Amino acid sequence: MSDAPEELTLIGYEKLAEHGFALPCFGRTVGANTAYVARATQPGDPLAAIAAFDVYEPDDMQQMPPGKPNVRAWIGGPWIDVFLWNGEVIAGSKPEIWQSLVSMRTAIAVIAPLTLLNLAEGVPGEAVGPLARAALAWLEERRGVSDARAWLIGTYLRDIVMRIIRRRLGDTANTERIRQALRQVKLEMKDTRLALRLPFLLMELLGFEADTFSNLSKAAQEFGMPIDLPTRRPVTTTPAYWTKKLSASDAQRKRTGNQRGSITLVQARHKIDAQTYFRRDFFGCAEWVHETTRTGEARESAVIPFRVTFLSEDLGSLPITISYAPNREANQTNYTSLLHLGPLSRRFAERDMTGKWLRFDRQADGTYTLSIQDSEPRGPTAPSRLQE
Amino acid sequence: MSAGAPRRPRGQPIKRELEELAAGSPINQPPEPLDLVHVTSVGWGKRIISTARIEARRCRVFDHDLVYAFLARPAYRFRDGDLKSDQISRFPFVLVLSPENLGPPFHVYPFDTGAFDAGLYKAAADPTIYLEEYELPPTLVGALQHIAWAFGSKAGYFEGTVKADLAESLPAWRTIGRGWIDIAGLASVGRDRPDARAAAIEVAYGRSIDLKQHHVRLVIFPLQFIEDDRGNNAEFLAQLTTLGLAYKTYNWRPNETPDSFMDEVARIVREHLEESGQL
Repeated sequence: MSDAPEELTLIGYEKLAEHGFALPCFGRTVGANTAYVARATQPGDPLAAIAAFDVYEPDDMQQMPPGKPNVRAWIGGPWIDVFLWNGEVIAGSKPEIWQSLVSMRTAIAVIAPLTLLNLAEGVPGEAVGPLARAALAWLEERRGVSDARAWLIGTYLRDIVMRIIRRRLGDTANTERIRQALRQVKLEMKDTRLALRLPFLLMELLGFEADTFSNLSKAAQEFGMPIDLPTRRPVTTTPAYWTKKLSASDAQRKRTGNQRGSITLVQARHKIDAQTYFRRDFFGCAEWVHETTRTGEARESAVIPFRVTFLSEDLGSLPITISYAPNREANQTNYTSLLHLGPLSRRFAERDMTGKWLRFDRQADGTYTLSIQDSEPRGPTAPSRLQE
Repeated sequence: MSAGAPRRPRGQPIKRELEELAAGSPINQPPEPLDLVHVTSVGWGKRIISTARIEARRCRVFDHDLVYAFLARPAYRFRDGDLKSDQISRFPFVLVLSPENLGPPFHVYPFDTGAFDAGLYKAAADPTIYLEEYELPPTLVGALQHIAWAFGSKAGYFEGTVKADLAESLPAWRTIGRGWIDIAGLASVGRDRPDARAAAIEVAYGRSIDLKQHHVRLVIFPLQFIEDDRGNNAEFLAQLTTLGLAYKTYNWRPNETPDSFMDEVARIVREHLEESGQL
């Protein structure tokens, strides 16, 4: 049985600076000798909730001052902050802290406008535009126009972009591939216009409905900056589909040995050369990267943004890895390509999918869908490639 | 104390196979060294700025006073002495250093020796190979040749992507070369939890580094430090000005994860390397 805590008490904090946010430390009871820090549902998002608690080894934890009411934190509950100002320690959710600071906000705005802006971003309904403009003016005065501009584009507006993307992608934003893609997100000034640059993988995953980046456009407008948003480049390709009935091994229900964590992509009655079909044809247009496995073997992999339907439930767009290693064939296996379950692992662990059907579709616009179905897929939306 | 990682018995000669393998790899002439990245916690970072010195500290792995950095990559060294990894990963403070006038390094390794010694690479490391056998020549040119041989480019090294055909190109008897590839695979982005330190080149110096000698190219710290220029912060900001140090900031938030802090720092370091023509 798991001993991971679900609810804890705020027992102290570690200071970053003399003012502003500190790192809240939690324990089972006041005076507990094991400290925890909370993990956010969306890291860095001021509106995030608590997703879990992790053990933490504080270097210099300050105890909560005596006489302060107990602050409880629980998984699924609001993020709890500790805010320091002029020797005061104020704890609670961001809206609670915002209320507690009513009489001090003007003073904070003069000395620490960036911190005040960070706090306000976590208060639903609070207009942050004026605070952002005040922060820019404060920076211009003290650090110069160039530094202020760098903060506006590289920190304030970029944070908004990252928040939008992370909210859209959910937990998958924390996977290594997506983190790598997020590091490549760029917001640049081109002449008098802002331009948002996104790597291909994020472009595909986000899908680009008209209002995806509306919050960014609004925030940029506050500073009189028109913005050019990326548009998905048109792709045309031949539609195709592929299906497979899942074996016990694909369903991670092998009776002996370790479960592979993946589904083999094989011929499965289709008129294809399965050794090369997935790498060169079906997913040939994807971005493939070379990598080395834990055992030192070379392979290629691509993260495919699939629109996923799992037993009739629409799971939205999920990044799923396909890997290709020709040496698998040399090792006398009859496959070279694997679909790594990744974001589907939990669902496969919860339910035995043996005998269910997996189907991939490649649409004419170059997008992909993946579905897990109870029965053999019929009525193809694309030309059938099944053997008679 | 070592956590069981194999160490060379005293007196036993060492064959530097990685040096041999990388020896013929082409690099630009004259060589264009990459900057070094020293990651510490904000507490230590502020102390470094106030004393204008990165103090060499006793390293238990090599029993020597050393300053550690990684070549071009913002990885932080695994727990060593009283530097706590929890603090470093929650409150990172980064100094980007020019190696130009630092003199020859004490040693250069193709991964974090602290993590190796702590047994963190055990799953991938060949138990018959000593730590010392992975050592690269103690020069920055040697490090560049290792990058050319193993990663193919500086950009490949920055992302931790080992050349795809490298393992196949090595005969089976090149056990140290193959052993290193296995360890470096722990940094691959294809893994769920890649460890960037497994493929980051560690450069150690046997003396303290004086910040007044213009070795620092960039300091990266939380944005909040440039606010509230009262008390401790005033001293910090004044010292930055006195030392003439360029800085960039990241927005510190209590609900960020260590991973997202490191991503942000990596992005800033990458920008710096690109802007200065190193990548």
